[in-house]
Amino acid sequence: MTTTASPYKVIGTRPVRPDGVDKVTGRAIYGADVRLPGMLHGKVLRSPHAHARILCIDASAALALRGVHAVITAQDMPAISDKIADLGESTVNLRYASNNILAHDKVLYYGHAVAAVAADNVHIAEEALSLIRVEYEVLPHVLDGKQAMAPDAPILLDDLRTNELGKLGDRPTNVAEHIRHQRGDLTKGFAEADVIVERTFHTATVHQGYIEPQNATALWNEDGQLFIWCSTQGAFSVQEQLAELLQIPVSRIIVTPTEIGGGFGGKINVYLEPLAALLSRKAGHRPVKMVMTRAEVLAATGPTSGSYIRVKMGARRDGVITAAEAELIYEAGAFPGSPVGAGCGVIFAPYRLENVQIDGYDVVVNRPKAAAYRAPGGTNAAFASETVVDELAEKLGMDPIEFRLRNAVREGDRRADGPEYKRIGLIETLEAARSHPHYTAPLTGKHRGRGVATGFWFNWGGKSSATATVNRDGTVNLIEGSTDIGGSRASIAMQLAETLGIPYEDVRPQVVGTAGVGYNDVTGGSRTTFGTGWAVYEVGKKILAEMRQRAADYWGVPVEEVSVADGVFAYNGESLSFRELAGKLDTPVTASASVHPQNYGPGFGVHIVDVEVDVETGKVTILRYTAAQDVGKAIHPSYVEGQLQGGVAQGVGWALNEEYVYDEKGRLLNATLLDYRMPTALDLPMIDTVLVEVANPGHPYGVRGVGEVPIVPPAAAIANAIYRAIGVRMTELPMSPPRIVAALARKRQDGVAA
Amino acid sequence: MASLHEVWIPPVHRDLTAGAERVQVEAATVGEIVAALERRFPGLAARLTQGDALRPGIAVAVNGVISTRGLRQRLNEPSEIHFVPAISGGAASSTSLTISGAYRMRPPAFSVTTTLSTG
Amino acid sequence: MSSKVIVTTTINGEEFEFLCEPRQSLLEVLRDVLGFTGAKEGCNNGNCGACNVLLDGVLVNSCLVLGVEAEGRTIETIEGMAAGGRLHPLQQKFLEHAALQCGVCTPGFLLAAKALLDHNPDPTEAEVRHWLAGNLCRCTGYDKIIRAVLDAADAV
Repeated sequence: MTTTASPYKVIGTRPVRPDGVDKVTGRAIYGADVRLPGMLHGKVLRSPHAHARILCIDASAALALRGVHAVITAQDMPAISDKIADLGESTVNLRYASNNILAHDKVLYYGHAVAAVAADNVHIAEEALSLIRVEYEVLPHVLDGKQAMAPDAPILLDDLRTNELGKLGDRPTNVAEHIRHQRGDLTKGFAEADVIVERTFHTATVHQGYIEPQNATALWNEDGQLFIWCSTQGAFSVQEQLAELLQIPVSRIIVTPTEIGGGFGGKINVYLEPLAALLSRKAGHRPVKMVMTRAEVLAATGPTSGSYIRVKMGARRDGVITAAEAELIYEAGAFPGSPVGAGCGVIFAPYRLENVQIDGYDVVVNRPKAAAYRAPGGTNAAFASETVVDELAEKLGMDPIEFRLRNAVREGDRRADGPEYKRIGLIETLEAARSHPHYTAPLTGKHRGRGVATGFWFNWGGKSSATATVNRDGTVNLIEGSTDIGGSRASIAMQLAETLGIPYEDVRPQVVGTAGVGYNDVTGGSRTTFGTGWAVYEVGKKILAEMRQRAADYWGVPVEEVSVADGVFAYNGESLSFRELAGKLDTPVTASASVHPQNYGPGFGVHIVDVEVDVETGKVTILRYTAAQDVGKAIHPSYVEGQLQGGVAQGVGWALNEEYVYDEKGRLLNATLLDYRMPTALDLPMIDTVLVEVANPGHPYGVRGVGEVPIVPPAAAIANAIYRAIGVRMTELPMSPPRIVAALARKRQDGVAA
Repeated sequence: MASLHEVWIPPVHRDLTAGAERVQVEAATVGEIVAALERRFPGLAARLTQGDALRPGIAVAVNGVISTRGLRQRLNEPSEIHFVPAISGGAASSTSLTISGAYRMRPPAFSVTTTLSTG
Repeated sequence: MSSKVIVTTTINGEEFEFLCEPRQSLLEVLRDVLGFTGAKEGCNNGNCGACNVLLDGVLVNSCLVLGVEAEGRTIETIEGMAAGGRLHPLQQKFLEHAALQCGVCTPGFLLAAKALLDHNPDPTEAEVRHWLAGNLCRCTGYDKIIRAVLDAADAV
């Protein structure tokens, strides 16, 4: 707790969110709640195979079913084969994207969409799916990233060549991309080391796990205007994707975002929107609504990459890391685009390194195409590097936080990928964790241990636009385009209120679609409170400037003679409050701003966890958890805490239970929430948070993104705690009961053999 | 006014620079940097650019800040230049769909019956 | 498809009569036939609790109840929780504690928590966690939800 007086009146308080009452009364309209007159219902036929050629599709029986209005396949997607001579990378990407919406000539994973139906209701649509006959030629499949890199592996995409930052390979491959960061001299660095630790890790495919399944409602009018209602992290992104996939002008598409039931990166890519649109057009321009089942969500959307990661690090006796090397293999799913690039950036981000090399591989496999998931690629990477860092500290006999402090990056240090850090708060965060009572609290009892780990995320700025109007009573209507997934209406409105010097309650924010506001990037990359917050700061400054001019006109004096402070306009002893001045406006005051800020400050977190391991069953119980993070400036501290707590909970699930389980034919076996085991209230303790505020000099209010950092450290922190509890280094995620039991058995065997 | 910049060569392209990690280049824009690199290290421009723009998936960082102007970014003071994989925060793995321009798709190879014959 | 059945039921104190296919779940009927969209579908197989309603005062997953089973029963949905123009203390505490982020699981949590407090007005943290283990939330890590329920119990 800081005792110095805050310079802010609104920022740092904890008001009720503007959309709160709608959400506790069931009135908030989410995507699946949309209803239009004459609406049909669509369903998707999905591949039962992991890899197969489509020979033919016969939907005549489905179409003959009463109540069925349209069936579509990839042949209904635009095919403009004569338009282009040049097949650049962007074209290939578009073909992949189109292929993921509806399989073109091959299905590439279990659950890959093959056809879609629109019918009077969901039950008829489902019945129709069972009447569509698809003939397949089943092909050999590969699910594992390492196996997919083998020379004799089945090739998923005939035209894929390895891209090394623009250098293209010359033969078919499953390796879409190779990234390398390299600096200094590894051989020299390892020669200087007194201790070296090298380990190989494996992490399973996991899903974002948002509670609301994907949904979309489309109406394609006779005049070519396409209306979309859907749960999305970015209406403008949906609009752009649809314009490309359907080859229609952007202006012909109006996307209205509904409330969204969680996203975590998984609701950026479109899945159902193009299908609903095509069905609407084919069904005689009737609206079509589509909602995925949970099984579809797990089998065909989202997940993030499973990975293999090898890390080798060396350090001197005095605790200085002398060399670090990593190799990351990320499974992209059926099409290129794993977050391996981000993983390469995260893996050694907290450490000052002279000699470093990082190699990353983006590998296609017969799994659903990976989508972004909260700090994409970060958790995998930190699990590997933070476990090795913990082991180095142990071998050197150093306290793990002390060891990290010894090597922690600060302003002016160079990242492995080259650029230098600006002002960052890693050291402050490590110190906050070290001085937290949790870190020194006694931990007694059998099979209990405490672990720590660090995490990093880049954060992002992105493009944001907003508009505000001053009402006659001095209240302000704010129009924004950032989907509110976790309370951002509040954090945005608070920044506008702060800028204007008026109460939070006087700003009424509304999230609108593509027809109602300037361009906004997705709510993702921890950018909304930062970027859209910046947009409303600019809006606020414009409004104040205009209002100041109006006040000057009112008093008949030059504008320079009017002062503005805390929402009060003053001249020569006279004053007008914002509200009073608003009542005197004869011409309305409205302001808009669009921004694309680049000075997003990266964030660091340090987590402390206590666990207890049941050595009979292998179950790991989280006893206590503390997450410290440099948040820049907490606009609404409750929602910042909530981001930390939520990130920790997802990280705990990733660490302990969640994974995709496939059979030998590549079919997903655990596509339900009972079997894909996410943490419940019973699996977690209270999650303490420490908000470290090292203001980001690149933002008017010092904001840093906060949402993604907290999912990065948990898996490593828990692995380190498990080691302290039972003396076993876990190198595989999830650290589920069977793996813990097996690891203990190996340990006993090794003990006997020794 | 051209100034002298420190350009970091991406590790995967140091095969063209005889292993050089950093080179000094005089230029007024990022585009001029690429042109100067190409003169010294033939083949590098083709790897970094496509037409008159950076290749999709490649970004340029000037003094640590990703430029939104790409090759057209002006360099008014001596700067540090990095060519890096384009990553955009939480949208990291979804940027493959920021596509523009060219579009071509093979017609599906399979036969389809999705219209009901009226006979 | 078999013929529809006439069902009469009481929802939030009001009597409703509707036509229902035997295969329709109570969740489908509430949402698609009667327009009570506060109950959400997260999994449609009883794993997530987003569709929770009270059936004769008992907490159920409405996706696991058939619509025809509502005949002659009393149903309480999220739409009926704020009575007499005032938020229920649980609703108020959820707002004050920022116990929701995306909000899609919130109706289910509120009804589950209400069912808990109706029969155990002073639960411990462990009891709250146990009771709410049938409701999945992916955003909050549960911390603020648990605190909101405990605080509401004190307020009731």
